[in-house]
Amino acid sequence: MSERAINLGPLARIPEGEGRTFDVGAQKIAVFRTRRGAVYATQAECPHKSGPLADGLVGERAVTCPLHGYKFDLVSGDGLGHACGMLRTFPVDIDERGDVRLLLEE
Amino acid sequence: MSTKERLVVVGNGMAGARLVEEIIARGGRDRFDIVMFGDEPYGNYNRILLSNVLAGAHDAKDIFLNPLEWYADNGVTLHAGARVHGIDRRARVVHAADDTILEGYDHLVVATGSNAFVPPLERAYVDEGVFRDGVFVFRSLDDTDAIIKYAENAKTAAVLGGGLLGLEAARGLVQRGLDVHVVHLMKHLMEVQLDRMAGLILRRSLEGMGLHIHLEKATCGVIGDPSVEGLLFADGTTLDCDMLVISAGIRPSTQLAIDAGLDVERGIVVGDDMRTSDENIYAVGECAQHRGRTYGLVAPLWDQVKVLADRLTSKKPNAVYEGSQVSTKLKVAGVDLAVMGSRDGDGDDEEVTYSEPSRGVYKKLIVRDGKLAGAILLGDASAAPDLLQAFDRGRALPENRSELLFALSQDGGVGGASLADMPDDAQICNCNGVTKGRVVAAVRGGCRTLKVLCDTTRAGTGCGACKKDVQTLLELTAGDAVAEDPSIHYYVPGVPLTKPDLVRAIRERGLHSVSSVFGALAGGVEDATSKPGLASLLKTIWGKEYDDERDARFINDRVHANIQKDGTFSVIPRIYGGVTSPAQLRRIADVAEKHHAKMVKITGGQRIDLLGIPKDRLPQVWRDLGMPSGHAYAKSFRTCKTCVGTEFCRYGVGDSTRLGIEIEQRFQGLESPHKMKLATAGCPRNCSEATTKDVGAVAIEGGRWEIYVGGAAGASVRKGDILCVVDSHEEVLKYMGRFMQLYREQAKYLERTYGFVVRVGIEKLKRVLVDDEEGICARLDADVQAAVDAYVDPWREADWPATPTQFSNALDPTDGAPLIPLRRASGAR
Amino acid sequence: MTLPRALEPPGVATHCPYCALQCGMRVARTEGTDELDVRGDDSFPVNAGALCVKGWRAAATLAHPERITQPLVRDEHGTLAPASWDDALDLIARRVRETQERYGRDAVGVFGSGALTNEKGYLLGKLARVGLGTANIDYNGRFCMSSAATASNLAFGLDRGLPFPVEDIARTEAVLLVGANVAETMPPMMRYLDAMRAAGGALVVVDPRRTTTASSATLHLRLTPGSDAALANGILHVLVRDSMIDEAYVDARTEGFAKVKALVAGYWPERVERITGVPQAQIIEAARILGRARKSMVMTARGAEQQSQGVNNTLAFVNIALALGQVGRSDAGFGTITGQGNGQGGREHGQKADQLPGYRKIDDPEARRHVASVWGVDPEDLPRAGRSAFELLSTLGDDDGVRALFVMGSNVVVSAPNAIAIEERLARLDFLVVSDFFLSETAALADVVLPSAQWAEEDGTMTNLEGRVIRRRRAIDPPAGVRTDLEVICALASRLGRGHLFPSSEPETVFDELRRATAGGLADYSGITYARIDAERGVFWPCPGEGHPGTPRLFAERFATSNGRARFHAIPHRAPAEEPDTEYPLYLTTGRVLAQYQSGTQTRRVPELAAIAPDATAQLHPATARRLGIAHGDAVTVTTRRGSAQLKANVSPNIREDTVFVPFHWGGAQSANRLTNTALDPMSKMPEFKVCAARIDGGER
Repeated sequence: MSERAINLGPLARIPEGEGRTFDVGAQKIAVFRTRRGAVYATQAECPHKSGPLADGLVGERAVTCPLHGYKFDLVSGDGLGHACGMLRTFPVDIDERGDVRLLLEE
Repeated sequence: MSTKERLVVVGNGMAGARLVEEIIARGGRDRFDIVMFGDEPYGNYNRILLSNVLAGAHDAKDIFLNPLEWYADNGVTLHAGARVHGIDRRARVVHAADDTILEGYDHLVVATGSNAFVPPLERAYVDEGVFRDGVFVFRSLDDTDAIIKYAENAKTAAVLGGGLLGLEAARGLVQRGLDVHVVHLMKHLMEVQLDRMAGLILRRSLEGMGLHIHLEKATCGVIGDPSVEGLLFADGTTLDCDMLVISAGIRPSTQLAIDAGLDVERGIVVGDDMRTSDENIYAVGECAQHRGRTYGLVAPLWDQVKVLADRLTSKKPNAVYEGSQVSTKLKVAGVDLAVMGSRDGDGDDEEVTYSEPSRGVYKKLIVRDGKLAGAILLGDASAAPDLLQAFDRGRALPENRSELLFALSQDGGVGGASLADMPDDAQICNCNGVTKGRVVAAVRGGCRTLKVLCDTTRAGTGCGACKKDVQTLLELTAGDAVAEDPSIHYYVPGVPLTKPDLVRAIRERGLHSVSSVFGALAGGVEDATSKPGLASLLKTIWGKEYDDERDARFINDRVHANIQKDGTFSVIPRIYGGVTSPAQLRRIADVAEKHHAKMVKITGGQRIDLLGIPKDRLPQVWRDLGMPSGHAYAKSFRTCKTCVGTEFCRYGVGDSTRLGIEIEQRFQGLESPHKMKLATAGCPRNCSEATTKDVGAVAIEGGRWEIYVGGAAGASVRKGDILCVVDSHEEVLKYMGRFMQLYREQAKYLERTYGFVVRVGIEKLKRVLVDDEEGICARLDADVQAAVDAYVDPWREADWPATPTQFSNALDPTDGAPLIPLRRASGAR
Repeated sequence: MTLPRALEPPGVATHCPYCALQCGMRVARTEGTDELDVRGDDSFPVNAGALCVKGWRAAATLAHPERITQPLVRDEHGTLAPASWDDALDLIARRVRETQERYGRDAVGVFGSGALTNEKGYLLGKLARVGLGTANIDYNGRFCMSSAATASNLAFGLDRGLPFPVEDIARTEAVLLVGANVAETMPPMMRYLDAMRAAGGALVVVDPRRTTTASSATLHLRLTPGSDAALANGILHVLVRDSMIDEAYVDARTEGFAKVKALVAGYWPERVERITGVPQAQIIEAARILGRARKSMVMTARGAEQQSQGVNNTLAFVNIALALGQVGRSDAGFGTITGQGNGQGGREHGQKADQLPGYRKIDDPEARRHVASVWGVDPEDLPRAGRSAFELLSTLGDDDGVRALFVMGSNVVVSAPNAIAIEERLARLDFLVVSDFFLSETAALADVVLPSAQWAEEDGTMTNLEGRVIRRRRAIDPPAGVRTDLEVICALASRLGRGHLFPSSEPETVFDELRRATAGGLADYSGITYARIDAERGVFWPCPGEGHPGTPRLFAERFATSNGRARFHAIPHRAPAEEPDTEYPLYLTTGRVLAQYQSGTQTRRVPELAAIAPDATAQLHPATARRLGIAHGDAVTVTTRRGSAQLKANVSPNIREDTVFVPFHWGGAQSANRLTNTALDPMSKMPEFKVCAARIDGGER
């Protein structure tokens, strides 16, 4: 059975080790691609001062907001080393064509 | 009828009023009824400060030593503005104000001071004793006020007389923005105090500051009617000027004494008891002639009045005045000058001279029997305080005379003292009194961790404020051998190596990219916060061969603009040296309008900032500007701020604008551990604040440049240290490049130059970068050259983006609108 | 020696026995040992846990082998031999009576100390006035705070070292620190200056030496010793010139500025540079730093005060703070940094020859009436003002001078100027009693030595440099055979038949009497109780009622002068009493070093401290050393018109070429005060410790 999902287009649109913001209807989603090939999706804006997370620095399982350097876990969304909220995270995968898919509610 | 003796003092100036003060201080009021006469309608003011008043530096109302109340408060009768015209010695009566005032005396003191000497000048007067409009002498408060008023509508002033007073007047007029010509009869300036060499150098310095000096010029007349329009010289030449200030010296004012039949030569002749030829009449101050000498400076006057006060009050009935040693200190248009004692030595004297004409510096000491008999300090009077005291007190001088010429012991600024330069007995821990020596010894003795070091030496165990210094000492001494909590020494947190080790590993293993560093040295674990540090380091190490991975860059360096709080960016085009043009400004204005910049602002670095540009518009903005990137977003060479330099500035002595442009063209975009803000100043006035920049150049006399490093005027403020003084733009570029390369290689990531310079120590830096103690200068020069060659304007990526989505704001899903709601990731809670 | 009573951790909260900062400490016995563990008390605001090396080692003087544990009486062979308390006290009482019968009441003198608790200082003063009935009591604070005290009274009508808590220093924007080396004399205070610097503030230090404090400063004005007032006038000249005066404040809250303004018009930078040796650029810079700061502080200490012009020097610097409109403003003002542990309280409660408790003047009838009523005596029976410290000491043994002296907690042989003369004077006494816990240089000359309890062995209150009254608490019992000074005073009083006037030697009871005695005085303690001190971590005087919160910050609305205005004083520069000449070509100045304290009676006996600063040294400039052929570490002789001292050369660039510095913690041939000048300040009677003319000879390794 195949999940319903939104195709965010070819992975290549997100350079290795960077992130990009996607307009998904009403909301913005940040999608990250690590150099090890992992892909993560979170809310686009930092809970601290709504910095554009996709412009942040991406590391192993983590992203750092470009505005004030707050760090978040890309899987759990937890704040790392600070207590200013957590991120909503969303499940993503890569389909056979190499496109990024944002998985939706059953 | 009072039984007190009557003491009458003619003259209410620096000597007369001071005398009365000293007499009162000695309880003289019980003994005397004191009566004073003053020509001027005020109390006594400090004549020394008139040149400040003229220069606008001191408010006239603030220079009064004895305001009129003072006389009343102290029971002194003052006839202010009443001119004394006669002394009846037989009747012992003083006649004043056309005989409307008569005062009898038991003791009379003549302290009439001196008058301005006015050489014979045709057409200088319009009437007996009335100067032509625009002609002034500079002697009294009224003279000063008159000069100031007239100067308001004058452009050019001539000062007649290149002596001390003349130059003081000239300085004042320069401060008021006038173009000033000093006309002097003699071969060199201040010939009374200065020898020929000093006179010549002083002339050069003053000319460098915009004064016009005319020597060996005999002025014979004034041109212009009804008011001054110029001067006529004996050689037939002329000089245009709107006003003339005659300051050709002073003459003791002795007419009153002559009329009274007292012995008068150049001044009123007095003995060591300050008594004139009449036993009831004394003379003090500039009008008195003692042992053949008259004095024009305040110190001797005050010596004289002390003696006279001691005698009159019988505090020391036998006090004698044996003459004074004269010294003076002044600043002429920014040139420091101190002179004391004899101008030239006689045969047996030892003369020590130091001369550096290019900097306008000349120093000369005359040593007699191991003591200072005279000195001239020109251009650098920093040694004056010590010398003046040695001179005044006849202190024995150190054998090593050079110690006297240069102020070794008088450095007041101590902020920047670096740990490396500190002596071993310098105290690091104030709580426990631990010296640098003890800490260093302990480290050498095997303490390789902060904790063990503190426990052993007790340093840092008190208030703990010095822990940072102890840490630095540990690093300085133990270098890489530092053990405890190594992470504080890691260059970046994500790779467990100190900078030296990291650099070595990167070189050995030929790691050209950030990811390869993580792969080889961090078990493949990429640490986000470590990326930019590594990128900067790799770029420094490999230059052209650096394998540039964009994800290792901070967003600013990915899109070459500075991210703002709302996620938009600011664009600052390169404007070399802050010198722009109408066309350029017009273009910038058009771009700002076209792209709806939310704000247009002049930056602290003299650049123009367009704020509020969305990411996806950046390329178009750059194209429209057609200017290179200003790098205002990067950890790199930022800007070189400049002042107007020599082209237009009245004071500039070096072409700071051109140099600034050269610097900026050479080093633009040079990556570094932290931003580097530079500046060049055309003269020591330092309008572009070059001394508080990461790297700065300040022009000094003789086309030379002082290179400052490690300055700061941000969160922390620090005056930079002088790395060296060079005499060409090429040299400036060379040494700046050298310093920047060393900083690039050795500073910690995000360590500003001021931190770096203090940590390493300026003396060390001088040894490495100037003396080439480590023999690496050639290599540094080559490496920085390579980095310069590797420079490419990042804004060219407007047309050659590094990745297709480099400037995308947000991407759209390829297929239609999403089906809400989204599901939360399993990992999320 | 074993400590009798064990303590329960975390120990007893008390305060450091040394300087006027009075850092909070917790003292506890290390489990299973006799060792006392001393650590900083984090809960005391002043030091918040920090201590300096002296504090860390404070316990070392308690269980010290040289401690005196029984009275000593000089026997027929002239040697000090152990005696019983009764014998010692009986002897004292007998000799006191004999002396007074023969020479009159004033022939017995008392010499107190700024190290004594408020209770001791108070009761000692009372002993002199109503126990011995002598006018001649004074204390070593004359050699410390008297100039600052006189100046503060003249300018503000009140003398409290700092009119603000030290915490305020961290919040000001510029500090002018004159003749103070706090980095070495009270290190934990540096934290506040550092915090001020860290927040962007500037520190300007005035000192002939580049001290540790000076080298941490934004600007160091290395003035010629004795030229302080000229420098102050020069700075004020520039402030006037550059229109940085707070005219509104000057008009509203002060008087006498016009005269000062006229005076300083005669102190233009070039002239001041010539007098002080401070480059005019630095004088101007200092003025700018102060003039541009919105909040600034001026603080003086002994450097400027211990001179024959000490009061004037201090007033000249007060002028700057007033002209800038800073005094009485928050995080700003003028202060003077008290030296001795209880230098503040020590001068408030009747140890001074001219004062009664509560900072009352002894010649003020109202004051006499009040104190007499508290003491239960007739005002007429109270003596008049007696001789000040140095005058008292320099007339010892004269027919009309003091012939029997009781010294408590002071080592005058080392701490008084012209020590040689003082030693001779003490020898001429008929009878000398010294109460101390070591056999100090002075005690060694005594006829009777009384062993007294030390800081951690007694209760009482101290008043620190902020005017904060705090509690010294007994952590351990004194060694067997040792008594507290309060017990000694009461015992002596009863032997003199005045016991009924000295009912209790219990500190708190004595303090309650002190409170009544000070009620209504300038230094009013009446609202301060032991309980409040405990609850409030100290209470600031004046505190006129138990409902009164105390006064951390003074002068906010008005000054304590008759008309409520602060007073400017026009202070012309006057040269020090003695200046270098061909015979004595150098300036001599004296001071302290970190690891030693005052006369060194305590610190010289602590091995760790002695190790840091083993010998008395003479600091001189390399150029001077070279001229004299002296190398670092050489044995040298420093000589003045008073005498000579044998010292070790400390060659350092941190001092002026024309100056030699000698610390004063050592006795005998190493004593700095064999050299110092006895010229007194006419107002404060402060001797000129800080400047005289000297010569250096020597240079043998």
